[in-house]
Amino acid sequence: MKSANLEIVAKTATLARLKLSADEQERMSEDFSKILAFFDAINRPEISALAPLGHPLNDTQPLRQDIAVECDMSASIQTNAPAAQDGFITVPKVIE
Amino acid sequence: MHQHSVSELSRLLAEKQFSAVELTQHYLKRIEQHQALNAFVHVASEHALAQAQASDKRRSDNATSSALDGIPMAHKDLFCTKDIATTACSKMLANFIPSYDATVVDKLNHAGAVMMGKLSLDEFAMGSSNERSYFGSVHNPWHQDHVPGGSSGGSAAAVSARLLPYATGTDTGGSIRQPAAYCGITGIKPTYGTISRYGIIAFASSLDQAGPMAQSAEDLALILNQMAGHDPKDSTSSRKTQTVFDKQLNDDLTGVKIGLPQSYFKGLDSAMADQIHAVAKQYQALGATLVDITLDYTDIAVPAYYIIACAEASSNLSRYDGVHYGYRAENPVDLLDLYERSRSEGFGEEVKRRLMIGTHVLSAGYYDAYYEQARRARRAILDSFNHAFAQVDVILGPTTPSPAFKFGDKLDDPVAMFLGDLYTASTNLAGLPALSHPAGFINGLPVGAQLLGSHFSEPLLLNMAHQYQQHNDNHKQIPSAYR
Repeated sequence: MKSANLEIVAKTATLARLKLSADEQERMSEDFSKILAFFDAINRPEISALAPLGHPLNDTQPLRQDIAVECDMSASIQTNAPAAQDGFITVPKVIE
Repeated sequence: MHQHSVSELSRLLAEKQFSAVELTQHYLKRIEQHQALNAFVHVASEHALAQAQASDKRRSDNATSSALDGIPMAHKDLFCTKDIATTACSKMLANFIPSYDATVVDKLNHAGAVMMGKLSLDEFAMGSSNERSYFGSVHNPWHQDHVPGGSSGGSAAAVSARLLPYATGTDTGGSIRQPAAYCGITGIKPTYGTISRYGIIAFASSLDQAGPMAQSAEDLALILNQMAGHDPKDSTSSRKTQTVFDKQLNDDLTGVKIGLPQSYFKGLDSAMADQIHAVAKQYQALGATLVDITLDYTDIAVPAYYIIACAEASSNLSRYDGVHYGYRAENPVDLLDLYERSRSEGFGEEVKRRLMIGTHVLSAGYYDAYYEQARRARRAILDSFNHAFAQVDVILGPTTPSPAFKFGDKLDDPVAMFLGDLYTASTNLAGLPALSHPAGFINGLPVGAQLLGSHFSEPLLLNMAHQYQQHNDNHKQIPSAYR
């Protein structure tokens, strides 16, 4: 069970784009066991036929009209970027 | 000055007993005196004094904006404030300075509010104790060894210690009501969609709702008048929402039916049950009728809530990738390394745990068993509430299973921490309004009673709590160190 959990934790960390240390993986594996066992309470047969509810008021989401609005915030956005140059946000080189 | 409620301060400012600048200076002094409480992550003194001066000018011109004009307040540090750091109490956003105001911030600015700064929270609003803030824990003003609750712990502690007359909070599974109960103040989570979420850093979008935290229900009504309303910038904000919340405050409670769910009292600590029954009796004395009801699926609300909340969080927080804004790891070897290390170094332990859980319940092979089943449970819970509200007008119960716990008591047991949301999370799943008001004390620590209503029934909840508070002074109690 423990090794199965560690495998799930490693796979999930990859999907979540998280890099966990060996200690963190160990702790997360223990937490997964407890939390997933806690989640099992929702496996009630009488609710399995119900339609899933997304919107808490059971409403549909209205769409607004597709109208273009001018919004030039590039200067302020760049001030929050970890690295920016010549009006662009920079990242490590991805093309050799 | 600081003992006064919002409604009293509004009257005293109108009578020119003191100016908004004098009031602001008084609260700034108190905030400085009580820094050890750690409620604030940023104090915006100059900004506040400028707003107070502008308020005094409006008053001298007979052009005040609202009942809140000139009254100090602060925002949970989850609301974007233009040109003022907004951190979500995370290393990830420690240096983030928004280029726009959240709609709530904008609306309160227009109402004449004096914004004193930003208040601490559990990182990204994920937590029930404020022990998860990147900037250190907030203390409970009633006992410094106890947590103030969370995630809006800074807001609750600041209002309880009378460092502010009111504050904003957000509530995804109880984050306004639980800290309000732990700190002895009044707080309301309105119906989903009542208040715009635009500019509030997202945790779980189908559950998040902002609300006010203050001394009394009357104050909450005055603040909601300014916070609520449809916002074209948030398509989930409702067009059905109320815009006047204080009209019904003085209505007679005769004939109001209060449901007491048996499941809320089964296994509840007897001291807590006694407090809630005493509250029920006072409502009965005010004319309300008490009815025992059954409320199904109470036991599955917390697991269903955590599955949905973590799933939505894993999606919402995928935006923090070290590229556009927020923390970036040093010397990344490639883009994937930049994503992974920025997220791993920028997020704290609880956030990472929830992102992992959320990613897992959405992943292939587990999606139907967890996420879809939790959404089916969500419908069952809504149906159960609808059935109850066909019989009664409101539901009364405890806000929390116990008073505030000690620091460290639940930190190593995530499931024990989750179960603190037993009485609060179901209302977020069903989008219902719920109000917590002080109900008395157990061993010197305050406890809260919770009123739950049907969708858009805020005026009734506020009316009930206001009537209770006309005959009871629990909400006027101030921790001895802060009088």
